[in-house]
Order: sequence, then C-alpha cells, then structure tokens
Amino acid sequence: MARFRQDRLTEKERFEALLNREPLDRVPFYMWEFSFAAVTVGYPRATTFADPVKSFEAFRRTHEMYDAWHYIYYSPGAIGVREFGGEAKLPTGEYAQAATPVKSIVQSEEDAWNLTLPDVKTAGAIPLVMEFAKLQESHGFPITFSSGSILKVVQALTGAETMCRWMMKKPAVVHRLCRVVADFHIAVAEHVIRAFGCPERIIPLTAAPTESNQMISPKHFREFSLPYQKEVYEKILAMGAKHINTHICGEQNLNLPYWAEIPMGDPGIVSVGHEVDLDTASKYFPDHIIVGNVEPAVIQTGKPEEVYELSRICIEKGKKHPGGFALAPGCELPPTAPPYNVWMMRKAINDFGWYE
Amino acid sequence: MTEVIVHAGSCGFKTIVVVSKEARNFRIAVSSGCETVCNWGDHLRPLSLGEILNPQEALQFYESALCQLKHVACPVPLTVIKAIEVEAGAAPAKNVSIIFANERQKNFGGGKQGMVSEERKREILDAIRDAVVRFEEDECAAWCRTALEEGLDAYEATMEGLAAGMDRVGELYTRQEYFVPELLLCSDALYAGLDILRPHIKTGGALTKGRLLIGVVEGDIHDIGKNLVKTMFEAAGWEIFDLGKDVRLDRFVEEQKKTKADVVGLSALMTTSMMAIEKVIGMLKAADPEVKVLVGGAPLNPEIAAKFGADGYAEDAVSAVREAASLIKKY
Repeated sequence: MARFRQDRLTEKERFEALLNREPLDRVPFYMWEFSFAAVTVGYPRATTFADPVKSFEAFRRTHEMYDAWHYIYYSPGAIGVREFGGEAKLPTGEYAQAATPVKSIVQSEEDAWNLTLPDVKTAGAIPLVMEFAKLQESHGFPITFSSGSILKVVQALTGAETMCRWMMKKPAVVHRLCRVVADFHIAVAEHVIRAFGCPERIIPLTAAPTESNQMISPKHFREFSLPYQKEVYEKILAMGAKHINTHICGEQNLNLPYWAEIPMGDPGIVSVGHEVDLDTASKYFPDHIIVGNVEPAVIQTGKPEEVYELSRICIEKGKKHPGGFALAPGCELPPTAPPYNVWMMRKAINDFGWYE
Repeated sequence: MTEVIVHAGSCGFKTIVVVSKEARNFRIAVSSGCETVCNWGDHLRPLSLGEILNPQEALQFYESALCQLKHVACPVPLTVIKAIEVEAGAAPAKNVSIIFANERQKNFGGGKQGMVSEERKREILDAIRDAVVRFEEDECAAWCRTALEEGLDAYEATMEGLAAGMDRVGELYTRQEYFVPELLLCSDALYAGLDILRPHIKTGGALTKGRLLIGVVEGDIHDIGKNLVKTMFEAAGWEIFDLGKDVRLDRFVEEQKKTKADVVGLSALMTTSMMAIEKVIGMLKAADPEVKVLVGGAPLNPEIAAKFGADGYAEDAVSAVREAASLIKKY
C-alpha cells in the first residue's frame, strides 16, 4: 500500500481553510465526480440525476475511498428543461454521460415571448436539489445547488442551432430568454437561501459549456451572457452567499476578460478546462480560488504516468496562485475513468502538492 | 404567359415582369429587388395592346411610371411594354441589350450557355461567393438563379461560387472572426444556393470529390459540430451519407457496407461517448481493413485518435475536409 505523507489538516479542514484564505498544508483534491461516484459504488449513471439520497451516498463513499472531501453538487441534469415544463432523458446506455432534452421547449419566437418563470419550489428537479441540500446540511457539507449558466439553460430550452441562429437574426428573442433564465437562477437562489437561512454556507455552481469559444464569439458572450450572469451573481452575493463556483468549460480564453468582470465572492471559485492554462487563469482571477485542470480525456484513456505527469504540471502551476488552488479534472470526471488513473492525481498531490 | 428578366444596371436590382393574357387585356405582375418598382407594379391595372401601341396612351403610361419610379432611366416600364407586345404576338421575343461602347468587347451578354462574358461570369460567381460569406440567404439564391438564367454551368457556379464562399468562411473561422452562429448562417446561404443549382448539375462520379459517411456515435446527441462538418464537405463537392446522432455502433458498419464511402466520419462531444469511437473503429476495420476513418469532437485530440485506430483527426469543421482529402488523395 502506498505511503502518503502525514496530513496536518483533514480534507474538510483543508477545504475550509481554502475558502477562508488560511494557510494549507497541501493542495486539496477536488474530484468533480458526479456520475463517476455513482459508477464507483455500483449505481447506474442515471442515479446522479434521479435519486438524491443514493447520489449523496455515492459521493460520500467515493470520498472515503479516495480520502477526499469537498463541496458536492446534485446534478439536476439538463438544467432548465424539466423546470420549464419539458422532458429530459437520463443517461442509460453504455456510452451516455449526460442528461439531455427530449425536445426543445422553445420552438418558435412566440414560445420564447410566452415563456414564463416556473414556481421554483415545485419545478422539475428543484425539489430533488432541496432533498440533496438537506442531506448536505445534516452531514456538515456546504449547501450547494447547480444552476447552469445563462446560455446553457437557453440552449437547453431552444436547442443549440436555434439559439445560435437567433443570436444572429433575432437577438431580441435571445435577450428575452436570457432575462427569463436569469430570473429563474435568482429565484432558485432565493428559494435555497430562504429555506436554509445560512447564505454564507451556500455555494452555487454555474457550469458554462455553451459560452465556450468553440461555440460562440466573445462578442456574443459579452452581449448575451455577461450582463445577465453578472446580475445573477451580484444578487446571489447580495443575498449573503460568500462563494460562487464557476466552471468555465472548454476553450474560453477569449471570454476570460469578461468573466473577470463578474464578482464571484470572497473568494470565488473558478474551475477551468484544460484549454485554459492555469497561469492564464491566475492572471485573470488573482483573488479567487482556481480549480483544475487535468484533461479528462487523458484521465479516461491515458496511461497512469501521463495522468501523474499532467497532475504534476497543474500542481506546480496552481500552487503559485495567490488566491488558492485545488487540483481537479478540467471538467466532470468521466464516469468510467480507470480508478487507478484517478488515484494518480491524488498521488501527484502527495508527491508535489505540499506547501509546508 | 411571357416572363422577362431585367438587370437594371447600376442600381443592381433584378426585376421580373410577367404578362398574361386576360380576355382583351394583359395582366401585369412585377417582382423586384427594388421596393419602389414593386409598389409601382402592385398598382398597375391590366392594359390592352391598343393602349401601348397608341402613342398618346403610351405616353400616359410612361408619365405615370416616371412620376412614381426613382430613376427616369429605369428600364422596367419599357420592359412591361415589350412583354405585352410579345404576349400579344405583336413582336418577337428578342432580348434587348444596352451596352456602353467602351465596354463593348467585354460586356457582350447572351442567354445561351458559354455566351456569357468572362467579366459577367466573374461578377456572378463573386456575388454568390460574397453572399455566402455575408450569410445573405436570399441574395445567394437570387444570384444562383441569375447564374442559371445567364447560362453559367451549375457545377462551376457551385464550386467557384458557393464552395469558394465556404472556403473563405473557413478562413474566417480559423482566424476566430467567425464562430458557430456565423457558420450556421453561412451554411443556410450555401444550402439556399445549392437548392437552386443542384438539380442542374450534371450527375456523374467524376464530379464528386469523395463520399463521406458521417454520424455522432451512440450515447451522444450533440450534433452541431457534425452538421457543420457535413456542410463543409457538401460545399467541397463530397457526397454525404448522414446517419444523424446517437447512432448505434453496428449501424455504422451496416451503412458503410451499403454506401462504400471513401471516408467514415465519427463525432463525439462527451468523454464517455468518445469511448464508443474506439469500438466503432474496431468494428469498421474488422469488416473492411481498408476503410478510412476520420474522427473529431471536443474530447478528442490527435494522440487519442491515433490510439483509437483512426486514420485521421480533425480539430474542427474547416480542417475536416482537408484531412479527409489527404486520406483519399483524390485532389
């Protein structure tokens, strides 16, 4: 059995120190493990999205296995689809990973203009989010909810091609949808914060793959995403939340100057994909915690030595970041990632991740 | 019925005048890129042959036109007169040209294939190309119709107009001036033009650059990248067999046996569905070791593609065509 150096802090103490800007003994390990946790304990992948009790149990047992502890998220799956009255298909096949919309809810301009805010107390998977949050509270975890970015939810409502075409030809319609989605995110935040009454312990997650420059230009990010995302974050922080977790997914180097304009907390938590160099992320978010960014495809298909080496590189860059750093995959840990490859990340932390 | 097309010249507008006999009169329908001409045409009442042959009554017609139209030299009123004459059998259907003397050698126009001047041909092809780049769908379709009307070869218009436009779009995408929304609209313009030209392209294998079977693998429903790849290949003159998204692995093998495509293109956006690509490549190669497989999608990279046994990897829709061409070496 591998012998790791003795930690001074527990993993929980380490994450709390990270959030409180206190000195750490070593780099924390953030697994980003959604469906990987379900698969690790023998549950179907869809458990991640369908069963908050089993999902919570899967996270806890996976943390136990890897000696990890960090804030965890219940994934509503295709956030926005079920909440606005649509249907989402949960992953079932061998090669399925994400929940996906069955049909676009917004199929015409009229649908967009008629879209109304649902009752967030009962909409879609929000009750399941709350059930998961109660488990977090009772077990001493930060309370979280996964909200999706502005454009991620707009895309879920319209479909990617329609959203892109409307951005060019009917921007007013996209603005209308962004407005409704922003109001939805704010309403969910109010609901969660009101229910638990301790906003400083709530850490919302915004995952933003649609904003990637592999999809849209920085100009469109500035026009459609930035103003609404900024408003949502400002209101969540005004409600008393201290930290917002933002996953800047994919190739978003051209968007970073705009993301940097958005207040994310004190500190905020910024997770970046392998496409954004950690030194670059550090430059744009000097005061926030940076999380990342071992390439998930290498974790999935690479040799253990390759994962170890990538982790070493990430640790040596991230350790220097003044706002704090946690080693993580660059995006969701693939559900069928070889467990030994995942362990290589933890080993790299032991070998290279000490501050003391 | 008599239909006449007018290219007015410096204003750049195209107008179509359709005259049909109705009892003793002739009903006139005018459609134009010029709003003023359209409005004038909408208010034209049916005319008789006698009215247009009588100078006094013809004068009233011209006075009315000149009061409403923007330009005294607008040729559309004259076109109406001539169309009525032809429909009435009072004059033969002969084209009329207005050619400036110093441009005479270059601007000889004609309606038969091969008679269009090189300059006019270039003008039309450039207009098609530019309409694609500016994602002007209606304009692209209109110029493609013009290309056919003026006798350009449909295949040449496709390759030198539409495909050239998409090549330029590809450059703009590579330079990160265009992104997916712009590419989608450019592809809409491309397809608007292809819908016009394709029925007129002489069929024949020699004109097809290659045959591509493409799909998003099982477990993955993200197809926007695959659709853009398909567009670039069609623009480049490839024949496409599109299996769609969430395609069962064995279906790739079944369809490849039927289509015998030169290249099979596999796409995945998620890390988990990416693993299906490795499986499919194995199945395809087992069925036909000579099959060429090209892969792409966000989680992939050249190393993973090679590890999976792919013959080629494309980072994006623009590079996919080049990569496929290198696989089959037909260019």
